[in-house]
Amino acid sequence: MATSVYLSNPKVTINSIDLQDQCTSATVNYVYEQLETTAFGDTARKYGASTVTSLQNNSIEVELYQSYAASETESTIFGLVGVTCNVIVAPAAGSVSSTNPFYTLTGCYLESHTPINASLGELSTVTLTFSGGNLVKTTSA
Amino acid sequence: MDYEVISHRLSGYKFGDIIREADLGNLTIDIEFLIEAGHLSPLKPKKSAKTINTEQKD
Repeated sequence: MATSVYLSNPKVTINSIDLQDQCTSATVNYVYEQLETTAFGDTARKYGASTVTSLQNNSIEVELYQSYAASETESTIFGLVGVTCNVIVAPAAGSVSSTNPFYTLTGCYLESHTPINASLGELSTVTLTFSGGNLVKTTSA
Repeated sequence: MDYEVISHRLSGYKFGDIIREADLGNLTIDIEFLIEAGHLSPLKPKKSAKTINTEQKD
């Protein structure tokens, strides 16, 4: 039976800071760039091969509620712009396991942040995209 | 140097825990960033209390 997974209680850790209770969405993009290996004699385009390893081009996008209180969103995120950090996202907040894999993006880069993103009558949110870095899936401690 | 955890958000630690920089080393995070963001506070070594001279004066 198929099971649907929605992130109701995920783990979201940015630079070792747990921001789960400020987060409303998280997307992990695991990408290896597509390299064409088509050659003369081929009848169809080919990409990659067992001996061709392309670069990872990963990213993690998260949406957080903005908070200017001590130790909350703004104080944690503002200093990360323009530097590299580590982001961990997992389906559930519990410990790592085969059914709760941890996706760790190491050395990713936060290019931009919107400290003020406010509209009348709405909760302020920030959308962050952490780009680059090496993505590792962990299924055991 | 030791640091006191002063927020509830530092992954793997509780508010009030005392940690060393080496404890966070494998996470490759910047201690200064965590201090500025209000998650850690450096613990200053306490000065020893002044000694009291208990010898009786003549």
